[in-house]
Amino acid sequence: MNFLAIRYLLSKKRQTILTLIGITLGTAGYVAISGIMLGFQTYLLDQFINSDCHVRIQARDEPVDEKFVRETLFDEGAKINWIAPPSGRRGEDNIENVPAWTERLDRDPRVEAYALQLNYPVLTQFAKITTSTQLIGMSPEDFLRVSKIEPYVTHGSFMNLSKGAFQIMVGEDLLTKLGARIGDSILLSLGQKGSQAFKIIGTFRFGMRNKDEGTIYGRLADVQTLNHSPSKVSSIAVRLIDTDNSLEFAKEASGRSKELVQSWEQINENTLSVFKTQDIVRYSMTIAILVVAGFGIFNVLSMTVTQKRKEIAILRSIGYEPTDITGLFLTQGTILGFVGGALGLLIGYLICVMLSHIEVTPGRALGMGHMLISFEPKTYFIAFCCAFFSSAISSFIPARGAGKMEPMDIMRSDG
Amino acid sequence: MKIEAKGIRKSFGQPQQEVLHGIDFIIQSGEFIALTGKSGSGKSTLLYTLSTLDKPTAGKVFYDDEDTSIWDTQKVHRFRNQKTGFVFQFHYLLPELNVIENILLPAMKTQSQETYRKRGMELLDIFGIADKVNRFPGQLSGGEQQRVAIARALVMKPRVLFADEPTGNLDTYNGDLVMNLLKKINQEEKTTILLITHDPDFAKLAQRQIHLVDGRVNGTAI
Ligand SMILES: Nc1ncnc2c1ncn2[C@@H]1O[C@H](COP(=O)(O)OP(=O)(O)OP(=O)(O)O)[C@@H](O)[C@H]1O
Ligand SMILES: [Mg+2]
Repeated sequence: MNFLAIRYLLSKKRQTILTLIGITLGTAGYVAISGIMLGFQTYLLDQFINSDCHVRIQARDEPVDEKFVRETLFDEGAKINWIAPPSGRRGEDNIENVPAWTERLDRDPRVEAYALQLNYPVLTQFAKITTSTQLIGMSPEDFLRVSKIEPYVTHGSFMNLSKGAFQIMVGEDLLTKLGARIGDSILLSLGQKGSQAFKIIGTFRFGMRNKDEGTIYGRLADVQTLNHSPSKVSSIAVRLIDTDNSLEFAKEASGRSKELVQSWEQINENTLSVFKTQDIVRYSMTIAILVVAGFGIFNVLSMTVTQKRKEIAILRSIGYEPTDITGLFLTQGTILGFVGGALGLLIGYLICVMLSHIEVTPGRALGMGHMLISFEPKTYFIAFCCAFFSSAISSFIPARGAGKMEPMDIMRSDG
Repeated sequence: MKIEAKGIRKSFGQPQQEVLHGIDFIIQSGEFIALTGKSGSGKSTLLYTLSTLDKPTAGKVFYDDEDTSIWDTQKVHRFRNQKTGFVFQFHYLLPELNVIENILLPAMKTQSQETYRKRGMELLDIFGIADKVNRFPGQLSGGEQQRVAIARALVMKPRVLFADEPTGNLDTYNGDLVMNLLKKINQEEKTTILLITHDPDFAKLAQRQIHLVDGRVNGTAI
């Protein structure tokens, strides 16, 4: 019967091609859009997870209010009369007991590495241009074990930071904005605490403007010196052996400490929720396309079954069974699904390959300078299954109808 | 193959209207029977009931003394495929298949088309359309199409051939041609043939006529 099914399809070239186009476009669309969205998500996730840290420990930004003062300054049950109730914030932003933390992190088997950091917003000045940036002080050796940012370095090396005092790595966009070059010295000032010239020894590019324009990495000791606060630490970046433990680790550590401990999921909550929305959009679009393709198949096959009533009667009188007739039409639907799905994967793949070669405007490049497209096999698997099964399911109803037709009913009604 | 009808009744619709009112006869193996009668007398209904394509409301059909009413569906399908051939008034070829593929359609049911290809070609030869094996039905005349349909009905060497006005749509020349072919098959292969026809001349070609009047057999002699 397969042979006859193929003949039927070939004899209605126009219908067959139109239906195939529907399925193919649906499948290709899903593959291409998933490629783009997942590529972007993978890229961002990589940035969240690898170019930053899995878990960040930082001083909790605590409001100072009545309750806070009562609990920290007075005995329990003390009677206090306020002239004016206290209000304000805790000014200090340092981690209070750094040795306790490092000891704990050293002991914890889940921790792969950690890096102490002192971060400050600074004013950056070069010639007559001033801009504000975030200065991150860290020890390069520790930092590179926590953050896998080497692929994003476009010039120089983080390790060179420890080869001398007052050297920095800056984002490429910042360099452009200031009009400075590698080797130039720029002035970083920390308000009243004074300022200090730092030499630019290298650049990086994450592909995210706020980071590439607003971040400067320097040595921890230099930042501590600039701030006149030796041994002060404002946050600890932690890398775990298994990324999946991040949230659990953060919750656990946060529960029993004064500091705020957040996993990368919590830090990037907003973006991650955008991913979810993207996924929903992606899936509903695909469902819509496949429903349309499924309806196409349903229509075409229902029409064919009606047109072929006499032939069905003939086949039945020759000894073909109801299951043969059902098979005849089901085969047509599944062939359409299979070929359409396969073509869709191929076209979707080609679109993805083409997209991945597109140069993103220089300077705004994501990653290596071109669009990042995901080629995840799961996408292809889902796309094909959707195309194939939606075709099979939508051809099943007309096919079963054809199988149920009784030859005599057909003969009588058609004369 | 011997065919026996025992008290066949057939009713249609709501309320039930009886079309066949108890039909009894025996057709001996190898007979050539013409089924005649006025339009609406129940010829087609009787033919399809005898052929297992339709079920009688009451009564039974026996083939070589086997009661067909107790056959399971698989047996019915195998019987249709191996033992019977059908020819309809309209030739009902599959337009997507060429002549030889149409003829081998019954053999394809059991994937035995290669076994029957030679037989198919022989039939085409006898029917005088051997040069058109690779044509499609749309490229044949009505008479040629009917001959292909008959070849398809005969390709499995059926023991019974049912034909519902196979000449109804043909001119006298082609009608005669078809009738002579049926006669030849009946004589050479001893195929039992049951043929509905309105044409008294064609009916006379048969060994025997079964004449229906309002759903009853009225005289079975020539
Ligand atoms: N499905 C049906 N429902 C109701 N009545 C039917 C049905 N099929 C046939 N009949 C009736 O049964 C009677 C016999 O029909 P049948 O087709 O057997 O006649 P026929 O002898 O073959 O006629 P014709 O020579 O015109 O083909 C007719 O009166 C017809 O109207
Ligand atoms: Mg009739």
